Amino acid sequence: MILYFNPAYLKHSTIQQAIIQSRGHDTFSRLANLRKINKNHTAWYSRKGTNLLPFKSELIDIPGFAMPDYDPDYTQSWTQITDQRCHDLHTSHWHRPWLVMWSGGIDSTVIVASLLKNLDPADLDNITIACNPVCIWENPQFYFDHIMPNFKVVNSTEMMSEDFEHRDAYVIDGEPADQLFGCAGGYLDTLYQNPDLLYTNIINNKDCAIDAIAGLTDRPFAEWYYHVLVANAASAGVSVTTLHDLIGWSGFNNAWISVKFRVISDLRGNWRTIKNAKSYIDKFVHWYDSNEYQQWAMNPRNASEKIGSTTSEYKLAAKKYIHSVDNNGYYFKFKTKMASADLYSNQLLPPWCCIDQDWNFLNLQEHEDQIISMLPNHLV
Amino acid sequence: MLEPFDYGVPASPGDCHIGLFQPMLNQFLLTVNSIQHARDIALIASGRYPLFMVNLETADNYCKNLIDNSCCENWTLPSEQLAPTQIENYANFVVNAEHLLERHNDLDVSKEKQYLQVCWYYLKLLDQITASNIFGWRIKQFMIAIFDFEENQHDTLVQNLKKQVIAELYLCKDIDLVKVSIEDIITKAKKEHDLVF
Repeated sequence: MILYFNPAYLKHSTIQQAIIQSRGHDTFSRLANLRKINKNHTAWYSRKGTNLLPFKSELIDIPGFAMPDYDPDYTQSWTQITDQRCHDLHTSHWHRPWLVMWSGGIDSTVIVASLLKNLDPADLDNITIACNPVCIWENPQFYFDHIMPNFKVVNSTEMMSEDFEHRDAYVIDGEPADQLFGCAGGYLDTLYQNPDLLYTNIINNKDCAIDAIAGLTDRPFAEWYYHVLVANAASAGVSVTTLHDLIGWSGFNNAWISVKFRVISDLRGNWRTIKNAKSYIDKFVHWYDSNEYQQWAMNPRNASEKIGSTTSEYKLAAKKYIHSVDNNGYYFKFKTKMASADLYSNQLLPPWCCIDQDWNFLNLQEHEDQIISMLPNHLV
Repeated sequence: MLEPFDYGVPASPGDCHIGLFQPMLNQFLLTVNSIQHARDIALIASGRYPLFMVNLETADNYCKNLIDNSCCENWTLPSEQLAPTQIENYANFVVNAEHLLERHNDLDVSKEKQYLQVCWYYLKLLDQITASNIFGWRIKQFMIAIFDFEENQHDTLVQNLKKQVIAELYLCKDIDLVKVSIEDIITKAKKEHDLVF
């Protein structure tokens, strides 16, 4: 059984042929369009509600991939959840050193701010920050005022070339924060050019949503996917009323699983030696993957803390948290999402094609027959 | 007007006219007449906010005296021209303005305009110091980049002075304190080393 299919392999002719033979052109076309919405956060595994997507969701009950049932009475703030997350990880994961991936962006800066706020200064000896000059450029004041005086620092670029399998530390990163805040990656231009559009009511004005999706894909797909998202959110009991909600639900429900595997889905880092995904799952801690953060993200009361009203208020709750620790008014007022090119786009295929029920990575060179025979059962 | 101040308009034939546009404030904060200085200022100020480099002269309503540093904050770009920068392309491309739009707002950006003027002032000063102290600086930099030549001690002193001044501007929290600090660095360099100012 296939648990997870690496989106990059959709462009491989053998895979395309297998999908088309098994379920026809429409299914293949829908998968290809789901990938186009946001290539780095491919939205093709539904975690909650009625699954209307082409792939079966085999991981939805496994911690780390599951979505909790929506609790409308959940009232914890971003700050309370973030402080609690730090304390929880300190309890559950403190027996090994921590290696925190800091990019200088908002998500990973929240992590470091939380460590500074919630841990004893002596505890910081157990933590190393991995970053490089571009990360420091993204947030120089934070690096020089808060990271350099308090933590050991390693070069993340060099670190990525080291053998992951033999590393003792827990690696902590800022995934899947974009999924909590509405996945700006797919509509970054809109965030800059017309943020008001994101507040459009897409139930009364469904053409607005269909146009937005069609802008990234094609019209027939956009009409299909609009109805998939609305029906799916309703079956999950989650409120989706604005364009931001709708695109956010696509990322939160459908892209979460892909994002969890993103780090080992491409050629960055020395992942080629890993034969089984379990060691990655055990050692890699995604800070924002908790039921509490997910409850926060699902609650419509927090919508204004996700995008605010201007470009620079995207991830407002997270920026407020950082500001409470570093008091840097410039970062609070002006830091926003910046695009980053996909360095590995279309040039090379990643080392593995899918993950089987025993968490083994399968590749087309060695396991083509096995993959092709399992693929039809992975399709709805 | 607070000193230092430069109108930032083309002064000689061949000069360009580049606006530094702040996308969150949706206004220009500085105009300069050198692409190299525009790029350097966009990088130095990036510790505070991103600045996009915009070629003002391509705007269909551009004319002499339309925009300079006495009024640039009252101008903006059409929203379709506002696109997010790729991190890897930051300060590495120039947007050709299609049209310049007047923009009225009450936001006081005088502090930021002053900060950027100070950055530009010291970049120009560093250029003069470099030109006066390192013969053929660009050629030397090119040769050092491709061969294993070592910088001589005199050139290294100038480079270290530049590094210190730009680091002060980059990490600036208080412009008045930074100006004092930079003047101290320059005074010390004058006193201790055989540099021409």
